Amino acid sequence: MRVALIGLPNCGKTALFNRLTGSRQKVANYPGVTVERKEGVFSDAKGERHQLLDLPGLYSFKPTTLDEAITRDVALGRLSGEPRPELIVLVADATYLSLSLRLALEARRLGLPMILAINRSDIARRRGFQLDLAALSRELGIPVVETVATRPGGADGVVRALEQRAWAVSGALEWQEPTAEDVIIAHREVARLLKAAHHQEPARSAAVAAADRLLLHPIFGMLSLAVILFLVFQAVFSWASLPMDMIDTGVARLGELLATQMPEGALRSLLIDGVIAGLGSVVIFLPQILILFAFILVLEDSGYLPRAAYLLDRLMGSVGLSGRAFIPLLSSFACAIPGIMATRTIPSIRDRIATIMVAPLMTCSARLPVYALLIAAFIPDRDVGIFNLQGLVLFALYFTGIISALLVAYVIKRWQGARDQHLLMLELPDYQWPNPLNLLVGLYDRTRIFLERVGGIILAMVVLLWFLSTYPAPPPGATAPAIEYSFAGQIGKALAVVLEPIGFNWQIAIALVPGLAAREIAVGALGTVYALSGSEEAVTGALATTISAEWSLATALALLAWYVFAPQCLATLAVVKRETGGWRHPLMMATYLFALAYVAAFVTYRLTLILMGA
Amino acid sequence: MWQNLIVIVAVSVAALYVFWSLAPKSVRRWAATRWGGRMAWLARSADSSGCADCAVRNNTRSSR
Amino acid sequence: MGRKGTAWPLYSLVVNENLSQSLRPLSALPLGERSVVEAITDSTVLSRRLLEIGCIEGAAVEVVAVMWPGQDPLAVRIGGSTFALRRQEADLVMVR
Repeated sequence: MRVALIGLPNCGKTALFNRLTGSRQKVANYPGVTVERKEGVFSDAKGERHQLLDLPGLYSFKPTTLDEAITRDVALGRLSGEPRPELIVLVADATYLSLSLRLALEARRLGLPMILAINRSDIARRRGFQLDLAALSRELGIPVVETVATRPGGADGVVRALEQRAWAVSGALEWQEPTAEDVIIAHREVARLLKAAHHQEPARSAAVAAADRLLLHPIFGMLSLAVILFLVFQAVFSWASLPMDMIDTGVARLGELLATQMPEGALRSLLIDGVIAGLGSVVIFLPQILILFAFILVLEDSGYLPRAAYLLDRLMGSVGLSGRAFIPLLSSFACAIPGIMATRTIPSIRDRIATIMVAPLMTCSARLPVYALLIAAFIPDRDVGIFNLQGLVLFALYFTGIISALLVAYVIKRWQGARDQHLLMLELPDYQWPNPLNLLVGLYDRTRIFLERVGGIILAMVVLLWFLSTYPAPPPGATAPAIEYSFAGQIGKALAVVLEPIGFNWQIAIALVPGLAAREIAVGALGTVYALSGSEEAVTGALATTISAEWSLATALALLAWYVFAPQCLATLAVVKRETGGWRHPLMMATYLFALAYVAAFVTYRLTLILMGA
Repeated sequence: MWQNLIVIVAVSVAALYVFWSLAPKSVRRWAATRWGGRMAWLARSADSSGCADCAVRNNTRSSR
Repeated sequence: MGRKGTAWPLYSLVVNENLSQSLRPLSALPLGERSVVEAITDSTVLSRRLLEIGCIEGAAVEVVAVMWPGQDPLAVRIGGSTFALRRQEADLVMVR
């Protein structure tokens, strides 16, 4: 059977989905929109397989945002290419049942068979929740079960109800969008139903209330936010150093092994100077990326993020963005693409476009290797008070990205003109302990994606780059390093003319071009380029040492400034195109980012030179 | 020498891979229909770019 | 349905003569004080969403956090859950 999960946002629908489908999930997009489509398979006791669709959460079948519209359209069978589900499992949150029940009454009008799953019943019962399930089931005319999605076997109630096929098909009612009066009537009906089922509402969680007294406090809340963000950046540097050293040594050993085992020749050069030097310099940053991701996952799972959106709403409002933009923008710290996809929860189209346009400025994790490399090479590993200087600089880079995003948003909003009614109305769900299993799965996924990228496009690029940097070979009697005579060398020198005013040498010029496909490649490319320039260190993995010897501080800072704004990878542009329905916005985005990058690098370079009295 | 052969093959494969990942959808579709008969996987991968594919799975939080 | 710009008299069998006297907007409710919803000013999208999350007549509300400066936004307890509302959204809800 085709089953769909419908429920309020934050009701634990996704946890129930995971509990039922295990790892048998498939993630894609709904056709034509960047709204994520999550589909899985589960079997019942008879061995029959059922298809399960996790639909975006919604507050009502009169949608205000894009993802709510998708849920409604899928439930009505109106989305082309998406067959209508045959059964709805309406997931309710036991800790506040009335709102979910109101949604259930609306869902009944869909005319589809329905099961009501009351989730989080363990937490609610601990707080005094009581309900006569049989009575409620009688009143509603549909099966009502309790579920605890976080426990093994917690979803069995749903599977059993499915097997028993105990629902009464309410007949194909003519669908009508609920009116305001319908909503009021539904609320009253819910109150009646709950009374008939002897509902005892659970007490409010004292722990959540206490935490909110701190975290929502105008002053202490902001402080807490700053502390949390700061902690993340410090951790990214200090916790990662051990694993990074291990990878570093491993790569170096591998290079030495090949150097001694293989005869000199093109293949050896390809493997050592190309593959190992190139990939090694990227892979070494995996620990840092994972730590960053882990923090983001924990923050998302815990329910803290809407609180941060609440705290920052004034700030975001001052540049014309909705406080709701904070969560997509935070997701962009990991990768701009899910961030851009997350803007589907912003109701106003103009707000959404403004948010999309500034999302790439939120330092995506692919920039991290570049930042980390330059910081490691040029910023001394010292302590300033209780802060680590390197972590401080990283924080400053991220901060600059954020500030520029706000400024650009301001400009965009002024340029757009008209004022929309901004909707904040953001739910602040109860805090949850982040699920360690979710975290591990998320990190494993992330590692896999990273390694696929490395083994895929980055490897291919590095091989190509090696080729372009090795041939044509230098004429006999040449004095400069071989690479300067190659295709890459020539291209780089040509580009260097444009990039010289901002302090970039031709090696950087070469490295930036493949960066269009994946930003991390710049690091890999530098690894290859410097390996072929004959420096030992690049091969043994210490690219940082190489560039700290060869580049000036001004160049390094200029490159950092460039990367804060650098145009993002082509995949992001493709998503923006899909999301905004045309090339206009992606092109504008690439252009303004490129311009900002150049200007920023220029200013930084010249300023540093002046300040250093060079 | 066989070593040089390996190098040539590797570089060619890499070049094709890069082209395939970065080429616009229409070009990939054309290529897939032209040779798709013998290489069905070509046609399948024409629908998604190597880069944009991982982007979909990059999502940290799915439907709330 | 109420006309635009007027306070919706919500589904109620009892006419409250004191309606106009003791009302104040939700945004004016002090921190920690509990009250009851009386009416919502019609403003299409915003008020409809408020209605959906439980701002109906007789519903209990409590303000649990207020941002500084300007009491914007507020965190409000309604319908069994907590919501962050902008001042302009909270202005739409009249409480006792």
